[in-house]
Amino acid sequence: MDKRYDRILGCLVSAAIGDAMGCPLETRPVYLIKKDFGHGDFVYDYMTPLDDSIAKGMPRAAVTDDFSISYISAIYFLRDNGRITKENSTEAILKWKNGDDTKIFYEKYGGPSTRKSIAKIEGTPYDKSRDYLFCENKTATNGAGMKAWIVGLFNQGNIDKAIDDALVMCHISHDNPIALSGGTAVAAAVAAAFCNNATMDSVLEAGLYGARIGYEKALNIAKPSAGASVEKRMELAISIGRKYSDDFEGCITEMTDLIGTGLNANEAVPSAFGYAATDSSIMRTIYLAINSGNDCDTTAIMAASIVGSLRGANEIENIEYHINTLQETNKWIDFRKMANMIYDSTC
Amino acid sequence: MPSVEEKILNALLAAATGDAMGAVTEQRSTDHIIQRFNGYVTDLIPPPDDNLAHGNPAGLVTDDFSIAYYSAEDILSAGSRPTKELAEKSLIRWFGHPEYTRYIGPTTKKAISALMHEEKQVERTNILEIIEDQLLCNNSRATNGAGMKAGIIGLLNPGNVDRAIDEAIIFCTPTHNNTIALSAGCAIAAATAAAMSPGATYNDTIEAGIYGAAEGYRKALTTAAPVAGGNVEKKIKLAVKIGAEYRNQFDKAMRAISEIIGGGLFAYEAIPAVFGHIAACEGRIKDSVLMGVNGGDDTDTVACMTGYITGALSNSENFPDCYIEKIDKVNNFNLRAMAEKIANYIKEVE
Repeated sequence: MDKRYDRILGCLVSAAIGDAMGCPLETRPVYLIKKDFGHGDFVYDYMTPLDDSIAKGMPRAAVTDDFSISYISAIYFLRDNGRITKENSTEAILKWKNGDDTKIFYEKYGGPSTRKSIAKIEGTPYDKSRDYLFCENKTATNGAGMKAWIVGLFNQGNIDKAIDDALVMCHISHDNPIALSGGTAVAAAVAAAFCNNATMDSVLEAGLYGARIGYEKALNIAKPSAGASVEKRMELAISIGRKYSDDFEGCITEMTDLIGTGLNANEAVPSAFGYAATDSSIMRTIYLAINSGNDCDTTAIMAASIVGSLRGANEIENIEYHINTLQETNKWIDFRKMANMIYDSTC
Repeated sequence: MPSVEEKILNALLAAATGDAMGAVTEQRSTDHIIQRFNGYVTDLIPPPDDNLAHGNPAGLVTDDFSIAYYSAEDILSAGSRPTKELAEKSLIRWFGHPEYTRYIGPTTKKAISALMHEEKQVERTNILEIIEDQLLCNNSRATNGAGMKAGIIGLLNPGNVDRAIDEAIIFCTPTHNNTIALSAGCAIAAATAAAMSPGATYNDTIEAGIYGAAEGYRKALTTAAPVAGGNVEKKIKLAVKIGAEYRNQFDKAMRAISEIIGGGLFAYEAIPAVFGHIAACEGRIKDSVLMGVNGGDDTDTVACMTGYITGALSNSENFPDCYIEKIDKVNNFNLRAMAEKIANYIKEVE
């Protein structure tokens, strides 16, 4: 198989596996994932969501807002021959919100930043009571990172362009430098996985570079915000991932205790890189991320997209099981068709 | 050596000062603070017009110190140990003061509205709130609002760290009944209680804070709602390590703690930051509190909590006495009388 195609397919399928496996476990702490899902052990497969979670009522192996918004965005980028613009990113987000296949994801999972930005675009009422504030720290969320991995596939090997395109795509919904820094880190890492002789170390370096440059550039375009640094926490998370690379439970404990996998970009994004830094197989990386709980579907999609791009579809164990399971539940997904289209539009 | 009453007054002054100064810097980052105020904020000045405190006079505290003050009044006049009922009564009384309620956090707001509607089902219209209500783990509630007010419980328990932990749980449960928020509240109560011991060092307060976070979490696991989030105990240790690495290097320590630990709304950011600042400044009142004021994000809460602990420690110069008059005047407080009453309460109420 062509290596570039293998990487594109690997990224897409891994991302969807991470999102769909993380989905039912989202919001729980680690010990309750073990208790309520794993019969005392960790979870290694798709579960059916419980009624006390955000995913209540969704079937087993359904993806969330994370994968669906990324996939729809890719369709709109492809229509413009792979260019990423404010216009096609906006069209994609509206199609995602209103389209029959994906509107359930907006209704169920749409976060505060995404909802507010769509209301602004569509001209519907939204809460303006805090618009006078100099800083809006609540918008420093991981919603840019959760979808910016797709930007890496359209900028294979071009790290700087991936950063700029991630800012274009994500600024519509995330007007916050910390959130955008999370997005540019992930986009840069996926782009770097396509470089000749890419290794996990070079991908992590690109991620750190993406977080730093993305933050600096975002300071000029986004509303100010205070909060912990995505880049500095990534450094700590990567050191944890390397130190605990052979200790599955120790890695999860240390990562969730010190870095966290929550809604904020300065938690989920660094942890995703920390798990990637274990340099594990694609599935082990995904298992580390989903069993972390909290916003684990987002942590998992980011970690999986990075490792999936670097290692390729060939290294996903039982890939046919995953593709069949995911496409059966999420009828609008066609991994190979999407991978082919991205392959043809990029080179 | 300072008397018990002097230690209490020092704690109240430093906590109220940290809160009132932080009201000015809240939400901004360190760089934004330097830009807007031409340097660090080190005095009681009026707030800017683009943060939550806009329009308030210099020296007005926020929800942080005011909830604790009103709660202390009710506990002192009842002359009993803190109870859930007293805590609820104080919350409702506090809610009648719009100058403070504008700051109300998401967790406290939800609790008070439930208290005031007396179990009546409030119909929800916001989709995000409807989704939150169905969750076993509402992780957005793992906030610093227990820590922000639990310092007062430490003052009522000088040297008695274990009772401070138990009473912090009782006191904070009406608003912050989740494992992480309570763990953080217990850390601040325990550290303040330890600081009240004669001859205590700043290291004693850090150790008590770590113990309080661990014990508080362990106890809350059996009574409080589960949430996912950072580990307060381990993050305190990390913050202290960073603070000690840059000991007496104000700028470097403050920035490293803000970048890695954070100083935000979550209990596992703001509370560990407090201990990082104390370690960096060796517990000196003014340096530690000013690190909170200028570290960025939820500065009023960080600085207020630091004020209780370092003020009670009383091992260094405090903010000037004229601040007491300023703070009393704009807030309609009487900090000296409060300190005297708490000192008497300590002697009389077992």
